[in-house]
Amino acid sequence: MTGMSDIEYLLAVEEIKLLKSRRDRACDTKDWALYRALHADHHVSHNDGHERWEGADTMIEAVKAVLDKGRTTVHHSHTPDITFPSPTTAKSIWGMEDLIFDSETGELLIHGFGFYHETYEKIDGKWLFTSRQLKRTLVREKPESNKG
Amino acid sequence: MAIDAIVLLKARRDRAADTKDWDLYLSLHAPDHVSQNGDYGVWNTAAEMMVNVIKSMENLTTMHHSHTPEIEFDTPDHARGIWAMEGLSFWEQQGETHWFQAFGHYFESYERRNGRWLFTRRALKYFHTRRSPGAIFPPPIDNKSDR
Repeated sequence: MTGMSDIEYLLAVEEIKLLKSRRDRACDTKDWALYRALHADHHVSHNDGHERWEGADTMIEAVKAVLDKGRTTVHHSHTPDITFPSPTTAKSIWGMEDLIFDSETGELLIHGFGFYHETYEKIDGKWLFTSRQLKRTLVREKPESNKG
Repeated sequence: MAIDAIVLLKARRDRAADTKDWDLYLSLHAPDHVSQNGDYGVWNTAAEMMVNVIKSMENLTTMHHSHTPEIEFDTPDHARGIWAMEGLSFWEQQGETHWFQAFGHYFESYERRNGRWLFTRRALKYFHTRRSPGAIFPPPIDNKSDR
């Protein structure tokens, strides 16, 4: 911690955990207005399996293209490792599990595991995402389809 | 901090459900607690909830996992929380093991009364569920004929 009191540190940790909780819920309920509002304009996403998305507006269009239609998603995040390079910048690593279903057939398309590596900035008093990189440890594609 | 007390309350509720520790479960809820559960309708008191929870889960082995809380305070003694959840239930149906898996969010309210945080409301909204082929979920309450 750089220049933060214990209370300031604890409050910032809680705010970043809340930010992350909202992001996972916004993604899985397809609340794209909420999703966009959690990210700084200059946010960059660089996730395994996808191109680099520069800017929050580019990201939101890309996320919608991948997930909005025909996909039901579950994103569960765990055990944040949040650190503060400065009182207004933070980074964290979260354990994650995701499931992506075909909304029509219910087929499980992807069951994935890995870690989100993220950065945050406190801008005008609000913590926002400034980058996200999903590093996969395991992707099981159609893990339930090889019956018989 | 109050957030930690509410996170602890939630942890105890999930554990009490899965270990069927019904004394603990009841003690976490205000007497006027209201449940709106996707599977079973509305229960208007903690006592009504307990009768139904105990019956409905009698023949189930369950897993309730809750994640990434969004806890906000309306007053220092009134809070609301949203939790991502996964639920998994197993039971015997005509000699076969069946399962039901659900993903959704808990929408909850809490109050601090006499210094203790308690549940006052819980609504569970699923956004995706699936089940083993032929599974009847929820299994009919009071139906033990298959055991």
